Amino acid sequence: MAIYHKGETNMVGSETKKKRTVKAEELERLGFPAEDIAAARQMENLGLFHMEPSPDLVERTLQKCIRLLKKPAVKPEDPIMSPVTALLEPVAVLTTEPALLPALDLTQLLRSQQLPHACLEAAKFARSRGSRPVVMLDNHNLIEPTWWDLDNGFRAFWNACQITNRIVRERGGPPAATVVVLRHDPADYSDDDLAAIRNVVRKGTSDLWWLGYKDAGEYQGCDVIVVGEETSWELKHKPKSPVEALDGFEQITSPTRAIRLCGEVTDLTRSAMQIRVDGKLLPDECMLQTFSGIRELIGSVIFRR
Amino acid sequence: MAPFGTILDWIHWRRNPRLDSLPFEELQERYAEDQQGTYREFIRRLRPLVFYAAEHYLQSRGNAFTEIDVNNKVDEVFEDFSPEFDSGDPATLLQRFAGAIRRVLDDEAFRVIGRTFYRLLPIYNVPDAQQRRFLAAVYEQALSTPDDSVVESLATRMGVTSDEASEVLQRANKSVQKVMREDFSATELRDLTDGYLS
Repeated sequence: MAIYHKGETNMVGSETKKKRTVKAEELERLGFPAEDIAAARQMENLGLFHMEPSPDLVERTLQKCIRLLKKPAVKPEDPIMSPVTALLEPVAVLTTEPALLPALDLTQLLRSQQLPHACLEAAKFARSRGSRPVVMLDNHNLIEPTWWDLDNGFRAFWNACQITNRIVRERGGPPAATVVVLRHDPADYSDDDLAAIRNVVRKGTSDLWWLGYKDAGEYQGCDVIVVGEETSWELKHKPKSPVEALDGFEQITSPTRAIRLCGEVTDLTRSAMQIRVDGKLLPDECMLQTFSGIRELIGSVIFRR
Repeated sequence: MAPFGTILDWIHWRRNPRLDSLPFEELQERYAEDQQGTYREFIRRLRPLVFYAAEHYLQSRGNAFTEIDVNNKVDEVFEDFSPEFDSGDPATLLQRFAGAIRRVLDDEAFRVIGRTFYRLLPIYNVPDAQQRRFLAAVYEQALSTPDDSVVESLATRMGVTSDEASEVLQRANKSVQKVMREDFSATELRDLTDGYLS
């Protein structure tokens, strides 16, 4: 590690980084207040821009702080709204914002609502039959784990699953089942991926299995969601974005196909490691505390024989 | 009633804007529903400025130091503040954090970043999302750029043309002045920013 003194060039290894500077004239032209530019110039003159704050360290700082954060106070609840109103609410809000309309693809938006809507509908079927409302094969080789955290469409579906699970479990039925197809190697997961995986594992209520890529057989390149008794959504290529993913799912209405897919995905659980059952996590919670722990857990599934 | 609890959580998420678009005074209010996400966003906004303050603090001690030392000092500041993030008036969040910077570093280290630090308060109240994002990105780096031009650097980062970045920044600077005039009284602004802005 290089040691810096005031006035030295910022060197990292053999690579010379370009030092940050304050472009006073340009800032002035852009309308920045003179006092703010002067304050920035002062920092520059003090040599503070010889080092550059790394954008990668937010997570590291957060991990150090987590144990110190206070437990949040419970907030009062909002008034009750029906699930259907809740589903339509984003559309209603957006269409009352004229400024947003030119950029708004309503077809896309409505499509992203189909899965959560079907999922909620499946609660009825699951309750009457005692079946799982949703059976899903979530393939990390096609769908980035972070999309479940970041994308509205994926989150809406995930939230709908949580609602459905609560409804069916009140009647003693089994919740949704998710078999996750892992990537080839634990090193293929970034810290952001691991944070998203941890989030899903900790907060989810579906029964969950992790399956090694090699054990996924013909499902290595597919992502499958079976909702209710006759509808499946299937994705057979790697999408570039969450929008492309939701767009790329082919919806097939066929009871025979839905039953077959459910059976095959359920069969895969025999070669998989169960992560959550009846709302309880099976791995030691300690393993989920750190990224290295989650990576180790993933590795134990990928490399187990 | 149980399913409604989840439905309400969902509605709440749907209704609430993204964490990165919230003013500081509202950020704390989201803590109850997303503890880590809220604190992560708080760290994301302020880490670079605290880095510069920590660097100045270590410089002023006269000893050689490494980037690791600076980063460790930055972590100390956030660790010091963690227990009190959700305590106290949300409107004074930045002021209370300034207290932590002064405690772990010193007054002089905070003074160096003070003006830029408190400018983030009105910036996160700019109603236009793009203007707010662009302006915050420039201030969060203390108005410095690694490139030959602020606009070029921002344009690359935000995926827009240089002309667009330039226009947005100019409009954003006007908007933030308007926010300071119309959304805060002079006394309020002075009090909430320890006199750095008025």
